[in-house]
Amino acid sequence: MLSLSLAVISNARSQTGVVRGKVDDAESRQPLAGANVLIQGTFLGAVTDTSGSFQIRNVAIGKHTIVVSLVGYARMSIPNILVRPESLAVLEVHLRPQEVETQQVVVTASRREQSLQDVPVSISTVSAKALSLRVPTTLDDALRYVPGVNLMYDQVNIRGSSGYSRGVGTRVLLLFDGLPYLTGDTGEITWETIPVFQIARIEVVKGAGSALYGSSALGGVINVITKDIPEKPQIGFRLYSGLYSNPGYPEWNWSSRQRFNSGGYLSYSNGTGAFRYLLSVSRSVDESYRENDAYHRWDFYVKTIYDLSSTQSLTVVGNLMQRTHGNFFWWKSLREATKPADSQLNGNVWSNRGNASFAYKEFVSDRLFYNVKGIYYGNFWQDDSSGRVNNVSASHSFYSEAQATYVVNTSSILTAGVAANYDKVTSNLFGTHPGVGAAVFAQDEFSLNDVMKLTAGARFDWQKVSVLNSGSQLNPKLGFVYSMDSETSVRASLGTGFRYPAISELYTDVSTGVSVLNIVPNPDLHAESSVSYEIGISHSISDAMFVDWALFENDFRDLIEPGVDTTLTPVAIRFANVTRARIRGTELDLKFNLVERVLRGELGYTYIDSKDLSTGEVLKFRPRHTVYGTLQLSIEQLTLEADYRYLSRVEAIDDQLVRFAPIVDGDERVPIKVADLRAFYDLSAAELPLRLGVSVTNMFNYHYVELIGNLAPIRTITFTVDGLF
Amino acid sequence: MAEIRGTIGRFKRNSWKINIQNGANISNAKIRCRLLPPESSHGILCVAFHIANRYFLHNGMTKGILALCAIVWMSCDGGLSPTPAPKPGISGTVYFAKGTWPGTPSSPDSLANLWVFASQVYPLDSSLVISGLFSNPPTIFLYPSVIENLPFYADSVQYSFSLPVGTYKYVGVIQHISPDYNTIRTLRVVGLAKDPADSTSPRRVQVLDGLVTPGIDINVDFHNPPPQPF
Repeated sequence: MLSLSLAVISNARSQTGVVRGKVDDAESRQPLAGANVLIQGTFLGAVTDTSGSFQIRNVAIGKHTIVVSLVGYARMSIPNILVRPESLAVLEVHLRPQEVETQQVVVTASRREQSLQDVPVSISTVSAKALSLRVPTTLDDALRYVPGVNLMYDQVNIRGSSGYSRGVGTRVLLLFDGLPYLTGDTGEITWETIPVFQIARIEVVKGAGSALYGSSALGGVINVITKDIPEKPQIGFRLYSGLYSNPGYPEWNWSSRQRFNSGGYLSYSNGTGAFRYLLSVSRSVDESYRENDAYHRWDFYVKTIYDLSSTQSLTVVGNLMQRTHGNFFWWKSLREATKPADSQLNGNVWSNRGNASFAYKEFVSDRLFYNVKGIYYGNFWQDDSSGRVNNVSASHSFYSEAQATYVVNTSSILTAGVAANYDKVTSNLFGTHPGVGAAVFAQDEFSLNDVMKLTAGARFDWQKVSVLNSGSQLNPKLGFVYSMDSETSVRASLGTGFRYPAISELYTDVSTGVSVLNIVPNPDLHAESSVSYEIGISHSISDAMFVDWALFENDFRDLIEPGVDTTLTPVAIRFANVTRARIRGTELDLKFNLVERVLRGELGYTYIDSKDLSTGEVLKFRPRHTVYGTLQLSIEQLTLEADYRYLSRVEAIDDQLVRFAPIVDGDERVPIKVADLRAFYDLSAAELPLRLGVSVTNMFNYHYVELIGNLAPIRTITFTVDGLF
Repeated sequence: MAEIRGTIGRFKRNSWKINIQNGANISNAKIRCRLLPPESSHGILCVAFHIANRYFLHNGMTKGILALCAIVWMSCDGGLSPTPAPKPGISGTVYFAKGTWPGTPSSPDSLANLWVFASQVYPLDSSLVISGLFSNPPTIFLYPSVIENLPFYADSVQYSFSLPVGTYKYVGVIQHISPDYNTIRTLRVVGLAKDPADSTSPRRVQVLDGLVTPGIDINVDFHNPPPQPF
């Protein structure tokens, strides 16, 4: 639905034109903020403000196609918009609500904005609205219902890539606004440092992605994109308070009173025109359902955006997190599953983690933009036992990159860039070691014709850690998309990935303090690598149903795994390149709308057949079947949502760890069957900018472990109040 | 199709009574009833009925989803549960000195019985042994039981000995030379759980509720038995 009027006004100072307009809801006629308006075939665009208005300057004369998109609405393509010299084109765009969101815009697959339908790999997204309804306190909670993703306690797996290695390394690369965000010492993801209240969306790219993003992207990439800052003063807050139910058995009832968790955030944003800023502070306190597992956390976040001109912008983001956490490694026994082993009873971990990043972006022309980004990520932590400090570690990671994207012609978009990093680790666990690296990457997206697109790219990485010999990696990628019609697209891709060993894997040389086994260094480690293959099809069966189906295979070489080396005296744990592995599987994602704008849902199923090619056995910590389901019922101001996830019983675990740690009853595990229920009531109808909510996680108080020797959270009832003024 | 409006009420079990308001002639008509909410609906049940009828009950797929939810609910059994509390006691290994067994496997000698014992009383004399074994409650306990034995002619044997909570001052292995229960002269202590700090003294073992105290190892040398308590 479009009504278009063209007006011509004098603009003597320019030989280009301006496109201006308003975007609203086709049914309610309410203005829509946050809609993307793009001149197709260029990088010129704008985002609508709170009144639904937008303005795009410097538009070349001639006919253009303008594309308007917004999550929750059908993307609209408006052809033949005539922009004349020194003229102004005025548009009124009425977007039609879309019950099943299939036409999202993503940025992670090609380092630029593109429609999800044009991406040759599987991508799932988590919107700010979905995050808001799940009320996560850390980001990993929000990822537990993404098809193809599962978490082993705090370690993320995409299609079975990672398994579990406690606190060391990750085979999924986390990006924070497009920048790598792994700790310098252990090379792991620290979820608690992500300001979960300030996330606009999360994009999960499944399959190896090192051809664009470098080390650690063996299994996939998770990109956390923070919210934009509105152009008016705004105060936002959330308060929550939760209550843990009693465990299902009196043997697990270790505390004489109910356990609570509570917290919230407060943010203030302001800005006029060119300069905008947002300040946020959040506090989380969790007494935990387990003994010596409580934490207290402060998080401070600031974001500024400075539009230097209509084509240049500078974004600066800073975040600081401080946390104290009990040191619960594993249970005392299944009989005392909410108590830690005696050696961990009086241990704590203190951590201060922070980052500062900048991103400068400039549109040189309507066909060329470049950006320069950089991030510093500092991590400081220490653990103690009964007040005696055991281990201390400090790491500093610097990363910077420059990227340019150029529309060569109507059938080719070229992206190229360079990157560099420097790390410094100082720790009694890992020693003192520097690391330095550099990379160059390029990618071209060819439109073979109107319906077929081909993507080819490669990245060359060079890395040197401490006094070890340097290493290099060349990672290519290839992708193909065939849009059979407006409802159906077929994709195929080949991607490669690698991961340099973390400092902790190379150099850990200390008694763990929680086990009878020591960990010894192995400086002979080299990078592990992967190759991903995927074919998939996405199809809109109707306006009310969308299905995506993929077949995939990931082949891994030289996987780094910790193992008990019995050839050493005394016997000790050591990381080694020991495993060749193959993971094959299929994934089905179904989005449906049963009653228009009232009842909708999503169902995801992932099957994984994993094999250690060295031993012929199933890989550890990989569930064969994973099912996720979500149902959402919206009745006027009331929203009810239910989640269910099923993960089949993990067939293989780390038996050596269970035996040598030792973890009493460490082999006890069951399938994971968890249901959550939430209800929210929006008071905006009463002219109050508030939302009240109650959520019940693990509604049936099902007792399970994600990680051996760790009883997962029991039923929790949480009350929330959100406000936005 | 004409619409008939009226009220509906329970008539008998599994049947419904329809009152036609306008007296329509329906003698040869098939009636399809669609349940409508009462016009003056009060109470949460009426609201629930209204919502269910409006949004769900006419949609076959929704019914399927609801059935799936029911299956999910039923499938959510309790998951993991605590392991049963272990019976309190002691465990360890009995090591037999090689070449000291009396007789041979084919011709045992002086081996009527062989037990691990645990006594709450020490030192012992003849009367305390008798009363300790046969009083109620007893103060001396035998493993595996008074009618069972440790295996003969083994090099070692692991044991797990359930005991009442308490302090055991004297733990060891006792040999029953002949099947005569009338005199303690047929009993001989052949091994002791020794105090790590003083190998000449028996080890005191505390048995706590719900715990098996591990590592209570006993060395048996039939040729060099420890000092006899009686």
